[in-house]
Amino acid sequence: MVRFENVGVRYGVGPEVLRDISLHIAPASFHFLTGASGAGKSSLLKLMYLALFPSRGRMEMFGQDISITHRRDLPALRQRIGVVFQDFRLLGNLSVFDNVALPLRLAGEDEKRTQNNVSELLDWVGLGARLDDGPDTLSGGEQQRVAIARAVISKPSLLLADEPTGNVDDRIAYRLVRLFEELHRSGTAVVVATHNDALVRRFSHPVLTLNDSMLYPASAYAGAELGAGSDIKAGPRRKSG
Amino acid sequence: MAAPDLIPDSEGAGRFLPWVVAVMVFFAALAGAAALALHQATGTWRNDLANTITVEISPLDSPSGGDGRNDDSAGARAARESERLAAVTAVLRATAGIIGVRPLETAEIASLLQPWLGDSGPAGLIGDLPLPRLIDVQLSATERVDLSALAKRLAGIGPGIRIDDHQIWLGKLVRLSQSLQWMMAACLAMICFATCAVVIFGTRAAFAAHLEVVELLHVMGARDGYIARLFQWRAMTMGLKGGLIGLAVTAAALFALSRLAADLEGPLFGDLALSPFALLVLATLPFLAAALTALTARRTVLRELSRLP
Repeated sequence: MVRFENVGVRYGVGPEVLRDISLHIAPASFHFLTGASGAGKSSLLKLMYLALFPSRGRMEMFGQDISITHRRDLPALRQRIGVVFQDFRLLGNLSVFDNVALPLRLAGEDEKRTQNNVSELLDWVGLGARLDDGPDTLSGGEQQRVAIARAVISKPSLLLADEPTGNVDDRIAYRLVRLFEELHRSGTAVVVATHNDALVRRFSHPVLTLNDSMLYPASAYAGAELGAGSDIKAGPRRKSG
Repeated sequence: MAAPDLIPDSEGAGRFLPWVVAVMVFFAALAGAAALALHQATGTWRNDLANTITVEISPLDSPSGGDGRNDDSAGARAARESERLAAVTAVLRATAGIIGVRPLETAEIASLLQPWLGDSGPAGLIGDLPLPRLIDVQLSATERVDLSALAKRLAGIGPGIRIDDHQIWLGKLVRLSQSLQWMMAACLAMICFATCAVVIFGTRAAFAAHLEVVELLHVMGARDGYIARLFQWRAMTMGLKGGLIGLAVTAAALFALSRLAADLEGPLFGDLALSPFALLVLATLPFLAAALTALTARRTVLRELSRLP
C-alpha cells in the first residue's frame, strides 16, 4: 500500500529533514509512529498523504510510483487517505454535518447516501445532536471526534493521525486508539503519530521511530515489541555511537 | 454544496472588486457606446451619400459673366442662370442611371448657410451673396453612372459646373471616425487588461487568505478544477454585481448626453443616437465583465494550485 525506498526530503536548499526512509505499510496494518518533537513525524505523514513529495528516493502509494504519477491522478489517490490533523482543521464556516460530509461530496457521492452515512457516523461518535452546530461551539474533545469522523467517513484505505492524543488525557487517548483499532479491524491501514510512549506501550502494534531524520523499527530503537509479521521491511541501521 | 460555503467573502481584498469592476464597466460602456455610435453613424453617412451626388453651378460673374459678356443686367444674368440650370437638369434627367434630380431652391441654399451667417432674410447678407445653384441627384443603386463622362457633358453646357460626389469629405470623415473607433477599441483593451490585473491581485489575496482551506481541500482529494470553481464563482458574482452597477451609471450618463446632444440640432449628431442593437451590446457588458473576472480568477487559482504538490 505504502512503500518508501531510500526516501529523502529537504525543504528548499536546507538540510534533509528525512533521510534514507525505507518502509512498507501493508493493507489493514496498524503502526505507531513515534519520535521527539521535530524528528520529522509530520513530514513523514505529509509524504504519506501526498502533501509533500520526496526530494529523492522512490515512493509508491497504492501501487503507483508517485514520481511518474500525473498530477491529475493524485486526487483519486488522496481520496483513499483519511487524515486526522493535530489541530483538527475543521472549517469554521461549515456545520459539523458539512465538515464531516466534505470528503464524500468531494468524491461526488450521492447526497442522500451522504446524509445517511454522516448522520450515522456522528451518532456513533456521540455527536448526533450537534449536526447543525458550528465547530467553534464544540469542546476540544468534540472537535477531535468531528475531525476523526471526517477522516473516516469515506472509509479510506489508509488513515493517518498526526498526534491525535496530544491534547487529551490518557483515558481519552486510550479510547481514541481503541477507536482507531476498530477502523483497522474493518480493513483500514492506520498510522498514528504520537510522542506518548506510555500509550504506545499499552498496545502491541509495530512502532516506527524517527530519530535524527531517520526511521528505525521500534525493536531497534524504542524497545517496544514489534507485532507479529511486522510490515517494516527495511530501515537504516542505527547509528553507532 | 454551494460554493460560497467553502470560500466565504473575505474581509480584505475581495471587497473592493465589485466597485473596481463597476468603474471599469462604466468606462468600457462609454468607450463602447462611442465606438458603436461612430460605427453606426459612419455606415449611415456612407449609405446616405453612396447613391447621391450634388451638381454645383457657380453663379455667373458680375459685371463680367463667365461667358465673356459684360453688359448684362441683373435680370438678364438671372435668366441665363435659369437657362443653365434647366440645361443641366435636362442632361441629368436624360442620363441613364439617374433616378432623381432635384434643384435646390435659393431659400434652401440660404438656409444651409444660416447656422454660420445668421438669419438675415432675403434682403440681408445671404441675399447679397452670389450663391451657387445646387442640384441634388439620386443615382440608381443597380445601374452605374459614368461620372467622368457626365462631368464632360455638363462642362459642355458652360463653365463653373462641377460634380461633387462627396467622396473627399466622406473619406476624411470616415477616416476620423475609424481612427476614433480604433482609439475606443484600444481603450476597451486597456480596460480589460486593467480589470484582469485587479482580478488577479484580488484572487491572489483571496487565495492567500483561504490557503488553509485550499490546502485542506487539496489534501482531501479535491481536484484543481473544483477548488478553482469556488474562487471563480465568487469572482463571477462580484463581477456581475459590479458590472450591473457600472451599467446603471452608464445608462444615466448616456441619457444625460443624449439630452445634451439633442439640443445641438446638428445634422451629424442625429446619426450618433444608439441603435437597439448597440444598446443590446452595451447591456451585455456586465455579463462579459462577470465572465472575464470568472475566467481570470480561474486561471489565477489554477496557476497558484500548480505550486502545490
